[in-house]
Amino acid sequence: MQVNTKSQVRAMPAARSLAREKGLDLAAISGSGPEGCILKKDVEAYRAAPAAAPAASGPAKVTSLARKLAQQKGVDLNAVQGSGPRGRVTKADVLRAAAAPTPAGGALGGRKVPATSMRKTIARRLSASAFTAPHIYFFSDVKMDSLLALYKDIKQEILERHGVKISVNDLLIKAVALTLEEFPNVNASFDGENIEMWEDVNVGLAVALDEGLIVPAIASANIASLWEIASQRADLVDRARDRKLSADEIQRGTFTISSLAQYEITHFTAIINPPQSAILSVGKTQEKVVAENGQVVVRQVATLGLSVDHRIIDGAVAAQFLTSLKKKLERPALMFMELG
Amino acid sequence: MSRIITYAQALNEALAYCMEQDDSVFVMGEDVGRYGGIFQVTAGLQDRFGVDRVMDTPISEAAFVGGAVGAAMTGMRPVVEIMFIDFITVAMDMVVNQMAKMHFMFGGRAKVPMVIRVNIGAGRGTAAQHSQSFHAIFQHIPGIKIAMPATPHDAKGMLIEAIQDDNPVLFVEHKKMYIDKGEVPEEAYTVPLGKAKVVRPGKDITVVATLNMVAKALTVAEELAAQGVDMEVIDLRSLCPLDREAVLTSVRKTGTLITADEGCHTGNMGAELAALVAEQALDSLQAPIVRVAGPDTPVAFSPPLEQAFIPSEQDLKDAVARVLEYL
Repeated sequence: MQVNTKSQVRAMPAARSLAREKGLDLAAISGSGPEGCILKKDVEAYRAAPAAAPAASGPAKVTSLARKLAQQKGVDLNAVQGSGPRGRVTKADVLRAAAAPTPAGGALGGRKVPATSMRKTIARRLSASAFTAPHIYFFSDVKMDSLLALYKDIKQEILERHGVKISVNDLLIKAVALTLEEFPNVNASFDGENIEMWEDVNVGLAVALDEGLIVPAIASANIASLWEIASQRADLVDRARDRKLSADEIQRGTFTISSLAQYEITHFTAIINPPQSAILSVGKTQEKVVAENGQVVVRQVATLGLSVDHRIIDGAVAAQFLTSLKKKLERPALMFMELG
Repeated sequence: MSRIITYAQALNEALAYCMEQDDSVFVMGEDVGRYGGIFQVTAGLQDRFGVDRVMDTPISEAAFVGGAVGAAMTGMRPVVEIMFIDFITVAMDMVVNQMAKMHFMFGGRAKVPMVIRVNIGAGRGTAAQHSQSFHAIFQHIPGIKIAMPATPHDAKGMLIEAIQDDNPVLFVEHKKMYIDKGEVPEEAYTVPLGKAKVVRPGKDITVVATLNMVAKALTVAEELAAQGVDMEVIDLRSLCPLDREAVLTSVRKTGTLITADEGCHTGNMGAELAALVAEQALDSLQAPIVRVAGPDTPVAFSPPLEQAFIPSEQDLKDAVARVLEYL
């Protein structure tokens, strides 16, 4: 399945072609050409040192000490004139730049840093989503005790049998994928004219990198077994951190999960990742006092949020989706034994 | 043995050689006989071969081009001179509907082995009706070979080849190049039509040029080599057959294309090459294609305006600078 393969990034054909051949995502590459156009040499530079990923037109040479220092002091190396041999940026240059008042700031004298091509892409896509898709939001408290118990029960066995370490997130991905199967309207895209209901269910997982969010998608999560999901997820997240994802791995997503469970966040709203139509936001799982059958008990509770594109998903459908997901998570036996 | 002669003398030698070798070759045009041609390309030929084979014509391009088509179909090998390419418009029916079509319309049983020599180019103060460079128009007419020699050597070799070719050939010269000098062998030889020549190999930027733009490109290439820019200069030499492979091979190597031809910008030879690259080598492009060309205006009589019209070495440098922004 192809989703939104038409990239809106400005790139020369040779750069585009090389990125396609090597399976690189242009959105992650900074362009050094006129108007931020991505050049062939930018793609080559990215391939050579993806983690650094500086624009090829940046300072030709930087000493490693200067680079480290620049990072500590928040100095933009692109703006530093090198005084070393062949224009190499040295420690002294960085210290001078850090001490000097930044010339190019706005009225308040702030430091202006040009946005990376990736940041601009994120900005453009999320603005487009926020301003074209009317979002509506739904929240539900989910008791995670059974799911956590299941996780504890099976993780060792799966590790032994498949050599894969599963996480609670993988169970969540599976539950979401099975719920998407039930709601084809949620696993869909609207272009203003037609609604495209995707056959595949590829669940994207938002991964936060220093330079921005990237969302690799787990392919066919509805039919993949749990250990397959875990192994795909681990691989994709690792490669996302190394900037080695292919364009397809990013573009194939049909739904996104954004989790801030590791932070002290109870719940939040998320912007839909276009061209998708819905996104799930996951807050921290924490102990809460709840009433159950007239008794006060303590449960592990997480608040799930669902943002949907109201143009094609009505409130009732969204509510049913979230209710069905909650049911699967609270009573995981139903989901994995296909008992309905 | 080679010696240094002019472009006009090289053409003259080619004509003389072909007329000696083959009685069916004859020359026809305005002032080509007694006067020796406005640029002296046919100087001395009438004395040598007589008035029957070097004919002065009235100012009537349609008549003598049409006459040449008929002569060619009935066994002769006419070489027609049109004083300036501007005047070929008077004979367009003969060129487009007759000369270019007869071989096809007779199912291959008729041949039209003739050459029309024309010259293009501004720079001689001859104003809007004697300075045009609209040779690319004929690229759009199937059935005409188009030769554009850029050196005295190629002028001689390609003219002999054109006269011996059984197809009609439009032989495009540049009026500012007739006095250009270069090494030319005394003996006869041919240079094939439809074969471009890499006159300066390079790895960074491809420049495909015609006629005197080739020399300008070479000058710029040498100048920029000192700054570390390695330009490849290709002399296209023919518009038809078009040596597509030569252009594509170079563009695939450098990822760039600059075209240089004096024709007006819109629809000139560079437009066809840009389309070719877009169709067959788009993925190689590292930078925008840039065309160095004349502006879309008539050529002015005013000398400063005429100079402004002519694509210059500076225009080429500007084009290279634009491409370098992407490399």
